[in-house]
Amino acid sequence: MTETQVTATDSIGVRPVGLWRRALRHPGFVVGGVLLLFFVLVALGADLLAPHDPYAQSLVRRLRPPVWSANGSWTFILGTDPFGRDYLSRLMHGARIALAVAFASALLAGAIGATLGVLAGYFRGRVDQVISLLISTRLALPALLVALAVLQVAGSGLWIVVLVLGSTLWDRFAVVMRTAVMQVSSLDYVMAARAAGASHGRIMTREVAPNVLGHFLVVFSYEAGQAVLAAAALSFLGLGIQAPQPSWGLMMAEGRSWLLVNPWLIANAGVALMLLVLAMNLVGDGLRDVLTPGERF
Amino acid sequence: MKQSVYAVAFAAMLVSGVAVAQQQQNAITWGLNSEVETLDPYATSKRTAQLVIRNMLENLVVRDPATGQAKPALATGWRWIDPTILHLELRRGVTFHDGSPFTADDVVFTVDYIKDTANNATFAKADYGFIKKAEKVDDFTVRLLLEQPTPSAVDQLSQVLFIMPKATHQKVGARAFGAQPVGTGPMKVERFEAGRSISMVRNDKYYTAAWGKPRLDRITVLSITDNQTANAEISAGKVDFLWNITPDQLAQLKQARNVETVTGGSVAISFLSLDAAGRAGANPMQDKNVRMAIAHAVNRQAIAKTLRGESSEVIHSPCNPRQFGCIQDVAKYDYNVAKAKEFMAKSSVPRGFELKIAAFTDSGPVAEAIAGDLRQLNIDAKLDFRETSAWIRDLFGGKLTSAVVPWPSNGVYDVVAMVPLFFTGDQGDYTLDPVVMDSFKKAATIVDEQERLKLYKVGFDRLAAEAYVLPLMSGVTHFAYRRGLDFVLPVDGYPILYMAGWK
Amino acid sequence: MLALLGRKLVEAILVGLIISFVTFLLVTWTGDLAIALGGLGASREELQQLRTTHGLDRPILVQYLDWAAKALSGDLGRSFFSKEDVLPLILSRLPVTATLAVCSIGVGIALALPLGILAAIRQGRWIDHTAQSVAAVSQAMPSFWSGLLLILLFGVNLQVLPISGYENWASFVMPSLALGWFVFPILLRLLRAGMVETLNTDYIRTARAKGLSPRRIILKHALRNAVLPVISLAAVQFGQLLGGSVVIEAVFALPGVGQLAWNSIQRADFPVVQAIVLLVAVIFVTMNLLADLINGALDPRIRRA
Repeated sequence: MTETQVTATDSIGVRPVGLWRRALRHPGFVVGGVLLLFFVLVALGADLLAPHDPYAQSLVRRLRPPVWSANGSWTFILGTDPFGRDYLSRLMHGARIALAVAFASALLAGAIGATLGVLAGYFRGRVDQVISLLISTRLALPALLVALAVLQVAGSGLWIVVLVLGSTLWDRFAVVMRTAVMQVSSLDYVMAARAAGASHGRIMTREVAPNVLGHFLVVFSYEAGQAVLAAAALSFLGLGIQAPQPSWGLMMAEGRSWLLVNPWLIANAGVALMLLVLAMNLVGDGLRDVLTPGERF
Repeated sequence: MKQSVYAVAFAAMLVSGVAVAQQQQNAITWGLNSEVETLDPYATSKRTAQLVIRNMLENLVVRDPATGQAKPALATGWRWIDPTILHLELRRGVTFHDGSPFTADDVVFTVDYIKDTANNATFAKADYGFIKKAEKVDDFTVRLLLEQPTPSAVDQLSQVLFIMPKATHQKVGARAFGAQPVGTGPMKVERFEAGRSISMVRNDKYYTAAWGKPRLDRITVLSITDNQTANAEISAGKVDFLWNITPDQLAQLKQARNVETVTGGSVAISFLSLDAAGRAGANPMQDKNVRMAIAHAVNRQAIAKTLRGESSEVIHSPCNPRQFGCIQDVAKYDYNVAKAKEFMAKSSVPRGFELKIAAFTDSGPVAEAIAGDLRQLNIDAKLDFRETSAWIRDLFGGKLTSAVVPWPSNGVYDVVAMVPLFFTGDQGDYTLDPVVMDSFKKAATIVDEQERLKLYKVGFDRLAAEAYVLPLMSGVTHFAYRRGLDFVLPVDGYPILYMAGWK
Repeated sequence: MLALLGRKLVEAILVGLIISFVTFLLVTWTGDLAIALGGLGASREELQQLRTTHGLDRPILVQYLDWAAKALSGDLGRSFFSKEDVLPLILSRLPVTATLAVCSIGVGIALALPLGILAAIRQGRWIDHTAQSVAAVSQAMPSFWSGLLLILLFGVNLQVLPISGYENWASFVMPSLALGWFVFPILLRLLRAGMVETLNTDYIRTARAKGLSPRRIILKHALRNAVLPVISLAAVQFGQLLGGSVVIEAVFALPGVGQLAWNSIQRADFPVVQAIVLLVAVIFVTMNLLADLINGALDPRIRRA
């Protein structure tokens, strides 16, 4: 968010301590980091923190309003959903699903994208041409449509969603890593290592990889946010994670029929989702400014 | 709730001018909760589409909405020659919308068309399995030869067998016919946009029927699949009629000023199909203890009252108590989680398992509520929500381990309208029990009522004792329409719009 | 310039070919076409006969070439469901989606342009921070959620816009706002960065030194340079929105390509899905080419290359 005034020269080989200190002075990073930490803690501790079982249903107590409404009560702080389940508990357990999908999908996408990007950037030539073509193809495919079609055929479930998102969100990893590796591998010491007869594998893991790790982390945090958004869109349409699992997208889809009566059903899950994605984007911005200053993503 | 009252009332106030305009134009707009892809009654798998089509294509008889009795339509009289031969006198002087005259040839053609497997007519077996063939006696007399004695045949003919014009259909083909159907009905199609809207205008050449003559100049059907939108549109006066709305929609619309809400009966029921026969692959439903556990774990009373409406009742056999042959005096399973857990402990999967419950449209919430109840047994149940035609394809394709099946029986007051489909070894049968099959099959071939009832008792007793399916509840039909509409609440839940008019 | 375009063109054609093959496989693998054609009641023999008559028993590559030849002549097959020809079906829905995409980008630019300029001029000041914060928030909001909030505000509470469906221009207002709000941050970031970069270049400094008024400098020089990449990004975004408006069309029940795609996916009507994916990809690739062309024509550095 803020322009951190650093020059490009001190980006490579800076001591971690210096980086950390700079990161803590980056307001966006701090805000995003704290928010993200909050969500992670809620997700991990959902079993302890949630006031109710997120699946405990009772049709007699359905659609209770949140505590700040006239008829609200502290028993169900954010009210209950159309099946009488505690909304807050579902929101907390939903954080678990959102984070699991985000990290797993971004990891898978990162593995695919980074591998392609590093290969293209390092070997260049024919390899680069083929991989660039792959990237262009991926970019031209309407990802959401393909994801929907695949999910319709493959069925539902958390891990299927991860698989589908992981294999559609890798393009940015590939593009960024390709450029970064191209820059790094033309640096003197990499050239020197090549000249000294070091194997490709060794150069890539020892010399190239550590220098592009920053780029990877930046893209990772952005793509994790994208995965949260995409997963929510999929479950909003009813594919992927299935009811009664407390997915935020599903909660909003269910709340749709109650727009007139209880808009909180949509508002609260949406706010949670927005804050989580915002946190991931802010952390991404922060990492970008600190780890890879002067570059655009 | 308060907010909705304001919203709805405000909307009604703002645009009540539109409503007046509609009444003055003597037209009505139906906000249909389904998308109609074709107007060919034999190419759609949606009953809802047939409710639209029946304004344009007629059946041989029509069911009086007030009494449920079969009344003359294209057939003016009928009698049984023997239990498998129905003799029908046809109406003279009727013309199709394109001017061609209606004769016995058209009836024979329609039956032949459905019976020809090459035409792949949907519901050929469910709706027309009882008909063997049609024979022309003279230009205005036909005989329907039936496969077996079918006492409910005349009633069924009020819901199925939409008569198509032989010459026109043969000339244009099924595809073009589905886009621009030609019938003898009180309304004729003016414009059809697949999946979006159908506009129909009055057929001025329509004969004077038993119920009178069509009063409306125009009927428009708009597909509005979102409940909230439908509610907003009827409150705002853009739509005059909603059919089959949810109890939640009903509660919201009760507040609207210019809207009348009524709840009527229906012959529909819902049951939870369990793959006891293992058609979709080996699964825990094949274990009787699991099925017993499920039967005790689902709070059917709460589901019926909240998700269907106050007048919906829990059923114990998969049929509607109003139907002939529907024996509800069978083994009953109360909502008792402790008992359910005992059965679960005795079963082959005491620690639970994963289960997907397939459902479509308004059965989705029912399936989700069942899934929620089953979690008490450690069953990791999930809703498997599908688009209507995909659900139908997979249910009858033997691919669903469990599914919420809402069955309308086409409004027929006899269990033959549903039992053969689900319990006599046909595509929808996940039970495949010889006792059930034999008794139900035999019951369908007998005319003597007492004998039939005895056989149905055997079958339904066996179904309940084995907990092969979990009967859920009887259906109710909620309507909402603009005040001032003269509309007879149909006993079967199926609206006949062409009989309506503005007061 | 010509060489570059030539290379891009070859790439675009290759991409189109790959995608056509992938979508073809999608249909072939996801369902037995014979069952789809024959319906539930078809017997085994009938299915076999359907396979033979429709050539479904031939090698996959032969089937693909056959399909591709037909596709090139505009015959993309028939819907399993409505039995209509696919291409006219899609084309009849395209205007709705295209209108939505154009309006959304319009909204995005209308938001991004003033904010981007202000942010760049007042770099590091509160307006810059505010603009970027707004962008960060809007980027974190799922478009369907913004759509629902808009419905709540304009449709339910204020009652000024139709909640859903397609009648006239008013039906496009909320969907365009929701999608435009989603497109805006990307445009803003690009515009701001471009402006900042140009404002620091030599020729702007020269212009300043010459005593040209700041407004003239900003509007005439800096903006013209910064707007270039924005235009080409808008072209690319247009291509993306065609395939990305599924959710918004579902929320607002807009009968566009997205809704058609979504309905077809639900009923496993794969010829339609296949054709839409292919068409959207082709449009995307074309828009990319166009973006390159715009850049090339306007940017002297590329023109020379």
